[in-house]
Amino acid sequence: MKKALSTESDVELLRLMLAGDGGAFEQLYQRWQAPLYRFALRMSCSETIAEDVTQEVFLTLMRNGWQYSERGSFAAYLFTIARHRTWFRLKRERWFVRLEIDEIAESDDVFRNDRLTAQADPLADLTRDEIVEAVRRAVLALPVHYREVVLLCYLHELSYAEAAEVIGCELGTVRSRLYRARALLADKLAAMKSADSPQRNANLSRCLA
Amino acid sequence: MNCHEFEQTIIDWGFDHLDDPSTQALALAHAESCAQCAARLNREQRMTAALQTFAAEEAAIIAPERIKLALRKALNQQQAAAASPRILLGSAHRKLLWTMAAVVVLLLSLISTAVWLRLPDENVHNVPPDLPEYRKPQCSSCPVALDEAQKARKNQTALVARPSGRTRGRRSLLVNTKETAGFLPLTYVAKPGPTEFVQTVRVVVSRSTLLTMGLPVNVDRGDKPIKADIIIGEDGVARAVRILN
Repeated sequence: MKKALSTESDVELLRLMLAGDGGAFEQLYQRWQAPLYRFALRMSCSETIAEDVTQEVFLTLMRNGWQYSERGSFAAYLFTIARHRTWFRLKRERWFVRLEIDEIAESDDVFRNDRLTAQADPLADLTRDEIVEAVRRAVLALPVHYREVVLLCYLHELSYAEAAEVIGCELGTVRSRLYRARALLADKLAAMKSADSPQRNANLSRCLA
Repeated sequence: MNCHEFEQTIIDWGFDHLDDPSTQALALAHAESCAQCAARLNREQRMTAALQTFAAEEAAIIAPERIKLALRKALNQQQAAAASPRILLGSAHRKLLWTMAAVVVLLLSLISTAVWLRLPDENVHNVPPDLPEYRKPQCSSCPVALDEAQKARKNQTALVARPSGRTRGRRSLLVNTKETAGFLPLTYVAKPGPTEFVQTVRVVVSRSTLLTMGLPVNVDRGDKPIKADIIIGEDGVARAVRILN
């Protein structure tokens, strides 16, 4: 008896899709379109690029899916294609402005650097919507190298090993980038909070007047 | 656990990236005894919670439906066209093809190497076993050869260039072995160095050519060819010759 497609593994669905099974394509698309689209959207900040990248990832699967070797995870395989396509589009359209990577080396030494640790809690006294908006703005303001590890490890819940495979770097590099990304997020959230505070106080005083 | 170790483990706390549960217990125990690390843990937990909230909000974002329609159309077109054999090829077939290709390349490289180098004993085996030992010529009995020495020097490259018949050769260091026995050095050229790579070439030359090199041959049979081994130096100049019959 044929198994339901929803319970098939990604690799099995890929094999069926390459053999011409339209249902397998539907199922595979349903599983992966949203994560790939969100990743491309947050990396490029462009809906057009995100749509193109999502489409190109699935077209690559259709044409060259037989190249998938099952040595790495399927998620890492898809995100690797998406990352390459996103970077390619960003470079080609010259929308990408290279952001300076801080001079601190990406090594375990960053864990000893106290200046990376925000001392005050930047998320205190914020509502849920404010938190979401603040985190979104802070994530999008991160340098691309840090943003991609945050997106992969936190939003798409890839393991460090999978993220390292996608980016093509060492596992320790992913950890150190995540550490620095969190510190930068804390800094940016604190900066946003201090910038919003006068406005908030002004609104409050207007309400009380 | 000290504060530094605590700092190293804290980023793995959320999102199930902390591999070892015992490490988490140790970190918690440290946080209870250290107010600074407890505050740090609190901030990181709030950051993790904020990121998780953000991720949950982001989960609502999906790709537009038109992408799916375009992809479905592309898939149908692909299926309508002749299915590429490459796509239908399974991973086992691909591995087999790659293995076969590697074997073919390996065989080709081995054959080309064997052709280039030749086996060391090949020349020895080709020499007829009943070959008479070559005797060193007496120059007094061949004055013509001595007179022709300077002339032969000019033609020595030509000797290498126009061997008639099949030639056999291999490259080796010039050392005194059984293989080099019986060679008559051509004394009008510089001796090869001890580490110089030389090449032994088997040629069929006319007796008149050997005569021009100053070698003692029977002039009456000058038109008859003779089989000889010639040692050629790195510069392409013949260094020694051995007459085989």
